Amino acid sequence: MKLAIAVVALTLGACASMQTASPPVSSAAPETAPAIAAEPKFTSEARWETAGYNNDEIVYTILITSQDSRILRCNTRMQGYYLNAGTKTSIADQQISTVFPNQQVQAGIWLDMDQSSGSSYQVKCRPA
Amino acid sequence: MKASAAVLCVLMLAYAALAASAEQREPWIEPHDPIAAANDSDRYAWRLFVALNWPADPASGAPDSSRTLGADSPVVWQTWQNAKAIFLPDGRDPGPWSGGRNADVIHAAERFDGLPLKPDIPTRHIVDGVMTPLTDPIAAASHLNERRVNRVSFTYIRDQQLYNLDGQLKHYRDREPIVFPTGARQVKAQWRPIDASQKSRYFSIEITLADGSRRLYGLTALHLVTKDLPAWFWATFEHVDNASRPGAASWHVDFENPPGDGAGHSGFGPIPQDLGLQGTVWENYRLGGTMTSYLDSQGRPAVLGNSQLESGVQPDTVSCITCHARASIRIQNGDWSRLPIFDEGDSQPALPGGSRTAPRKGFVGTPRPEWFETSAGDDPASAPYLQTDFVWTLGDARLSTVKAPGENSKAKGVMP
Repeated sequence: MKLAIAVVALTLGACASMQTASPPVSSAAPETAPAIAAEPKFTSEARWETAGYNNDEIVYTILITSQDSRILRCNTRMQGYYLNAGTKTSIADQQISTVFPNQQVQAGIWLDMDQSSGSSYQVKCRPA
Repeated sequence: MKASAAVLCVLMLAYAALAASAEQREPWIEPHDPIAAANDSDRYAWRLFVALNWPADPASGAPDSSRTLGADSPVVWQTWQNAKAIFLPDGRDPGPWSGGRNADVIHAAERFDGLPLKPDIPTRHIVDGVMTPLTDPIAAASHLNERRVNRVSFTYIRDQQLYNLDGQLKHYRDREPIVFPTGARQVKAQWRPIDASQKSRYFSIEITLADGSRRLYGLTALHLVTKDLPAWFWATFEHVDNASRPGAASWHVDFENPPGDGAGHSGFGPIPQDLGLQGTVWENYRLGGTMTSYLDSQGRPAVLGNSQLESGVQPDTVSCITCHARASIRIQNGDWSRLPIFDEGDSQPALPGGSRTAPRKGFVGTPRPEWFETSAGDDPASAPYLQTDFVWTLGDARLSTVKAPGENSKAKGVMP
């Protein structure tokens, strides 16, 4: 059983780098390369941004910045809240992004969420 | 000599009386009266309101005197040029005035301010508790805003090449003041979806959505801004239903108990009885207030905003005239910038990621000279901010990406 867990952990470590954030993550994956393949290097950041006339629209967005020479496939999960007839209600979503070497992408823009209720996100990337 | 002066005086008084009488008889005629704007502001605002909301001749955009106020038709200000048709994404010349053809013919996405969809970024919104792809921001928006300018404004913007950043930066570099001419006028309007049962109480429009369906919207707020005075004349109107809308309490929107004359709040009184508003949809609108100076008569900062159009700002920190005095442009350390609209320094500190939980704060009171001056750390060669004559709409301008005639062939000429 211990051996199986170790194999799973090694596989995950080799194939994917994960960043979980709330507040946002700013560090890249470790630079030391595992035996099988180097972990993808990237940073991610979540922002509440204002938009629209007088900035009265608030949107949630997650940015992924590659610091890797390979193309990355990233899976972004976010969780937040919205007000449903005044009741704080949980909402979640997931997006897949392709990030080209040393480029930045917006994994998504999410509307209608309640900023004051908070949010969290998680980004996992692997070489494409 | 004395006799002729007296005759002249009588003639002038008679002319003024006749003009005033004509205005009473012909409420569709737009008033252009700086004295009334300054001294009888609320009355002047209502006269503007009636004239600009008069049904328009669709061909010319002029008021159609054969129709009555409240007739189901585009009104005068709806024939003015839409800001999105002036400040084009590639910064090109918007072309000649097309007034009279602007009321309904332009597509909703090209008419209303809103969140622009970026094709390469998934944009999602909540539908029935599920995050769903946003395909039509217009349909998803809880309200729609639009800005329009009259022909005098448009002509000035075009003549001065203020429709793109290149032209505005040239004004900055040359220190050439931007001063809109007398007669320039602009409106900001907000619409919200309404039911058919509410149509009799709202000035309304029908919009075609991306899926081809039609949706009814009612006018919920209207700013009127006119260059009758050097710092413009400011008036705002609210629909009576705004009093019961979320967030209205903080805005003191209470039509039963008007705030009376205060720091810029002069409105929420009854509608005028002699301008033909009664019995039309327009009887459901109230003057939120007018503004002609930075301070009230006691030297306190004047405050005026609209519960809908300025909903994202703390009510006691909203001043149309002070906010718009900050409309400006500057080149600093090789990059262009404008003064911020909001008071970021005094607002609630941003949370990690730039988040914020309280409405933003605006600026009130007399503009401070230091806002516009250079400061320590600036490029010594940079000049102070150039004000853009209270017109924030100029902030929509983009750098021109359109090549001048012959530019391509010239480039080819130097190619190896």
